[in-house]
Amino acid sequence: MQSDGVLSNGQALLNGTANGCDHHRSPGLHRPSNHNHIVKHCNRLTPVDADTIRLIGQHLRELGFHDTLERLSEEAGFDLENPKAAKFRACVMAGNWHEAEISLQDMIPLLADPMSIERMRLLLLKEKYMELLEEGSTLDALKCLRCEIAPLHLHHSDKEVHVLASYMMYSTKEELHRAADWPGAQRGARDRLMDQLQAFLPASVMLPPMRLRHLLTQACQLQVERCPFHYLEQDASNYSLLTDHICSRKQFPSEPLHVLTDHGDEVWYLKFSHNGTRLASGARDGQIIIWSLADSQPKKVRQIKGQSDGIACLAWSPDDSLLLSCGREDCSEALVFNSETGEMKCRVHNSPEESLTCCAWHNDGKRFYLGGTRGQFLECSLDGSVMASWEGIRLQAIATHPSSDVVYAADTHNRIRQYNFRDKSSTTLVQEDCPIMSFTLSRNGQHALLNVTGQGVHVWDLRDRCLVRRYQGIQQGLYTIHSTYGGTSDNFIASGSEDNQVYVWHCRREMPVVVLQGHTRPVNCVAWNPVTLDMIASASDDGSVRLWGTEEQLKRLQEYSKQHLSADDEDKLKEACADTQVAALIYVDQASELEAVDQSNSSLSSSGQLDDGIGLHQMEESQMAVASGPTIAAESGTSSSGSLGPADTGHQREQDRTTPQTGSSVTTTV
Amino acid sequence: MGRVFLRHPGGLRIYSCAHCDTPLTNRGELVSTRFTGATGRAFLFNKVVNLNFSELEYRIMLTGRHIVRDVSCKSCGTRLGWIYEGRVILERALITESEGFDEGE
Repeated sequence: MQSDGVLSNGQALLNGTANGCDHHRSPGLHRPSNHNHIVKHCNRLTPVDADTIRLIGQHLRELGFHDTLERLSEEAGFDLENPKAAKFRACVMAGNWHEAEISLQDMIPLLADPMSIERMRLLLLKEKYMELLEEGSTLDALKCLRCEIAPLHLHHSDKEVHVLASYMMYSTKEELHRAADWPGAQRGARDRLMDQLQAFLPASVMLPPMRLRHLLTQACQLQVERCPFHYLEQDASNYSLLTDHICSRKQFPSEPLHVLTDHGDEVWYLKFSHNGTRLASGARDGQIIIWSLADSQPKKVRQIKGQSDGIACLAWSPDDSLLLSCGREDCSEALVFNSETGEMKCRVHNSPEESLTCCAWHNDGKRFYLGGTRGQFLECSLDGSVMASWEGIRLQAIATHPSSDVVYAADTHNRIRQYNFRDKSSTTLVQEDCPIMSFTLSRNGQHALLNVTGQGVHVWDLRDRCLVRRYQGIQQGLYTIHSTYGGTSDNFIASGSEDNQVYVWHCRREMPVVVLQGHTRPVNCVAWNPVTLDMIASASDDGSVRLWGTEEQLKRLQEYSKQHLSADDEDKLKEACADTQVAALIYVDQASELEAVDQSNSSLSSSGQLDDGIGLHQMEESQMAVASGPTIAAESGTSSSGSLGPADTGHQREQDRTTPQTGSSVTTTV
Repeated sequence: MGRVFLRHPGGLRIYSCAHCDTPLTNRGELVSTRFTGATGRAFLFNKVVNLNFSELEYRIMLTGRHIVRDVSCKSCGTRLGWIYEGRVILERALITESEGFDEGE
């Protein structure tokens, strides 16, 4: 028997024997025509296949391919749509309300909930009423309202009747459309009605509207979510259905573009301005340098003398006009500079016993917060005076919310608490087991990204007060490491590490997607440009600030360099390249413009583990940079330059690996 | 080295490194004052933070030959004391005492 070909979800079809069709060999199936010579495929189709054909049929119908639809129906051997439902739709779309109601009665056995027929009737009658009003047949409309709608004793129907009655007051169509939020019979009201009616019918009887398109959009969204390098917002209509969407690593910022060595000492902190056009970096010798990113090469525009014991923290004011800087534990003053001119605007200095090491601006730009481990937690105004002070708490890091008045601070009890200086209230949001070294907030203020000693990078949800995810791979425990959010909607995270690498994670995966190599000493701080999303900056103990970008940017940079290379340099370049061990060539320019690109270093081992077989990033280029009045320092061996820190990088790395263990504090179990 | 992360032990009376003022421990962690080090009196504490440890070595002390591990300040590197039975002994002359404050919860 052909009963194997009977479709389980087509049971509804079996009950339909419309139009006195003759039953062929299989009485269960409705054969639409007597074209026996057309091959009927229905026997060998699985239920999933049948569903797919119905979806295709719906899509074709929506696009207007009615002939193809008929042919498809014939070949498939079954009706793509329940005939009763088809008839119902035809009546509704044509506006034959009377026939629509009759065929609605016919469909009662098909409905999931037979009681919903009343609601469907109400919808039909409402549409009928509105259309009668629109065309001006007020008396007919009134009759419909009184004799057909009002008797339907449904919940809320009395109120509805009043509202409907009020529509009779409008004299023009436009007013009616606006008041009732009803598009009008010619402009899609009937389609909207069909969509509403469909909600009452099971999917096997009538498919939800645009079902195939909906499924395809879902699939695209899933691919985007799974894409490991999706850091830019892209127009959804650009996604091709023909292949899975996956961003290439090539368009992810993972190539070193610039190495800036103007700092002569360990660089401890850096931060992009809010508009993404400038970068401020602070070092151990107290120098703060502001770089401009307007041109293709970053340029140093200001050098400011900050706290002499080292810059621990920098903060740009919300409008980027001011830069706030804090020193280390023994530093008792905080300085505010004009970021354009470099002049000091004000100074906060109360007593030499104080310690002000962390800072953050209030989102109104008129006040800022300072804190330290000796118990200071101050709210200060732009002239340097202290407006308020919170006693009794030792702080390691501060951050403010982008839109509200609260201040978040990490203290020495491994907590992050939320403080409100206006009503003096405070709440604990995060409780960790180990000390929190630093933290930042996501742009929407809902999540906090923490660097926890010896534990790595954690993300907490501040509203629900729970740990969301831990990110693996970095090495930390001895130095204060800072991390940052990045990407179009903060869906990427990057952090420095004591193994000289920069780690980048997608916010949903614990393993890093990219590990950037190139620094020769621990990386203290990483910043991600909030506007030009394909730029990452990292600061390291090797005295350099590195900017990372996409492969395309690297190629453009190399093209530019090639054009500007003089013959003299080319000879030296050839010499240097002959030595197979060459890892880096650096040109130091008087105008402190510096670029270097490193060759792949076999001696730099990779300690990061990556996801999905994406190989560890290796830098493979070896081409050179611009010079005008160059002095070339060529080094062999591992990547390093004469002007950078200790050249004995191999040994240094070993030391850095072991110190975290020896650096831990003593805890005893008695 | 980078910006070394320093913890803070809190408490009402804080003991810090005499050389660089890095906080190490507090009165609450004090176990005994009856120890002697190279510079004179030394205190035994339960838990001390911000220390670096050396390798194990043999040392002859007043009480005989012992295996000890030296401790030094993480921030400035000066020698501060040694480890004894899992706890830390800090020499009185190498640390300073100062007032802390009540940190509430």
